[in-house]
Amino acid sequence: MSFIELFSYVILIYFIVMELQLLFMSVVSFFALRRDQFTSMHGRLHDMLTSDTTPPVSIIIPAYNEAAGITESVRSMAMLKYTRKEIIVVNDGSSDETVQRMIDEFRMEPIDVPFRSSLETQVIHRVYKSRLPLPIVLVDKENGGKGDAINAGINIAAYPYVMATDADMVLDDECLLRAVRHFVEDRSRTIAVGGNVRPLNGCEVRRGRVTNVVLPRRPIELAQVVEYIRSFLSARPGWSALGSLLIVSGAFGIFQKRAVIEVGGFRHGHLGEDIELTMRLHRHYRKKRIPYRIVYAPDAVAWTEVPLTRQVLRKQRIRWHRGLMQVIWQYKAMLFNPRYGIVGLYGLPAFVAFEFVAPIVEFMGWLVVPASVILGFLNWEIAIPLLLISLVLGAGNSLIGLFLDERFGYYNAPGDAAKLLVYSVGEQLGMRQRTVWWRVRAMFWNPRRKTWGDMQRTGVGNLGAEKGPA
Amino acid sequence: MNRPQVLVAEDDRVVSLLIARSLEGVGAQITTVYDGLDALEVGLTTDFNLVLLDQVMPGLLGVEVLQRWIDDGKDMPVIMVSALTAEEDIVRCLELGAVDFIRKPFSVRELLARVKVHLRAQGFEPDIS
Repeated sequence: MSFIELFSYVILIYFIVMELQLLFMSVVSFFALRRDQFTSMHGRLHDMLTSDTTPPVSIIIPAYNEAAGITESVRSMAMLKYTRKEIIVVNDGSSDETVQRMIDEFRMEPIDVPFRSSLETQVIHRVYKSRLPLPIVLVDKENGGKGDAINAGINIAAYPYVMATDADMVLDDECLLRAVRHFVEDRSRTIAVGGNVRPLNGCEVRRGRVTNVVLPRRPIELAQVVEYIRSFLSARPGWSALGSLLIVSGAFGIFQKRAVIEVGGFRHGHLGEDIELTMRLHRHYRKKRIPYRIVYAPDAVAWTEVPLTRQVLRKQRIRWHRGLMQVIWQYKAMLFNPRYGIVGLYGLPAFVAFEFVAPIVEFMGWLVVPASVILGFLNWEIAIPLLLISLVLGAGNSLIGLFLDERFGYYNAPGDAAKLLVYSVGEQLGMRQRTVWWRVRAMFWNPRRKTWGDMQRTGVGNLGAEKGPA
Repeated sequence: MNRPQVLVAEDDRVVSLLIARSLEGVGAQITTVYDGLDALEVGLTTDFNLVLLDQVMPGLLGVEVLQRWIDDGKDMPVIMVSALTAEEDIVRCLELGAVDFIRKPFSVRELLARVKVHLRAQGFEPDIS
């Protein structure tokens, strides 16, 4: 057997192993979702809404040059079904009218509030509170980036749980209630809950709420819908159930304030600030052997606009992959270290093998395997079936995602299911290879470098938390 | 005597209908709006004898509407209705100028009793219309 032949078979087998791992996670997700459905029944949400023991939450909205939409965004947060909440807008040194708009609309007035600087942040100029009977706080601070702004919000937060979100996220009415349910169920161990982020493109939005869920038209958007469904329904519930959820999105994540402060808050200057914080929480709690839970709430839904153009999508994916590389590099000591339990032995290795290494192997695969078949190095009677198995398994995983998504009943219009089916299969040829190429490109970069390549880092607005699949 | 004019500003159409039907039963003439901006506008142009103002409405929140009416010199008795308000905010609502606060979920009997109190204070006899 020649080297190239052996190499081709290794690649093909790797493909199959990767898809089988995804399949395994889909099965775990299926059982996790089924179990969760039982526990979320019986009107518990309504009980939470009216109970005095439901924990209060501070909602933190970092804002950099958000003058155009900040007041609508605050109103939309104020309308979330939740009894005790405060909304903290952190102006991260905007150069526009963000602060003035807040002051004018909500009658904000400066207050002399003592707060503990538990987390180090850029200088806070002033804190405002609404004169109206509305629990709205405005923090005006020097620019320091999204993580810094959230940290400042955490310092000011009055409540024991903090929700980090973006001004441009469209949240479902009950999303906070549905997410906090997990804290209520296990208050002593739950330290973070991540929500389900879905693509907003195509949906009808009225006054900050999705009023009609519609599939987008463009192929680039549809492919992302399939991708989000696969990631948020066939992967995350499984990882969450196994105790190895490595991502709690900074665009829609709820954290126990004490836990975040204990590990030092969001880290500045990181491409994947939220993945990094989640990893740090895992490391801290595993190292100290403190029982904890980081949970995913599939029924807590927030919507976000996904890229419309190839260029923006490419930039986003390169940024995500670099963020992932940074995190892996930073937490490499946890790899295969039994001290970190399932995170060190399975979660992180799977992350490395099937998120970080996958694009390299897959890229080589798409070059080497066809070339070896053409050049006669490879027995195509074996190679083609292997390739087909991997593609079928890939499409199968997306289909399972669609099946799991069915229970939430979002895409009900005639033809929706067919469209999603076509894209689930079609994604295997085209989108998948394109993403692989972008991820390979992302690797030409040194994660220890302190510069950000093509990233323009001017504030929270264009930093963008990890909102989507990884 | 004229029928009392009551504005019901509530974004949940089912709750709004329930309130409207109940108040019609005591002889009030009801105007319904489902949005904070509409509530603000209709409140600025019409003098209502009583307003039932939901705190959580799209467009403008209930207290924002109340504040803007006060800024504009409108002096209408406003009952705030909300499920989502902490005790401190209820107190602040009353201090801002609301005459009463009803917590959701409410019983229709209680709502009617409170509405009647405020209408009677203005000389209406709500039961007889």
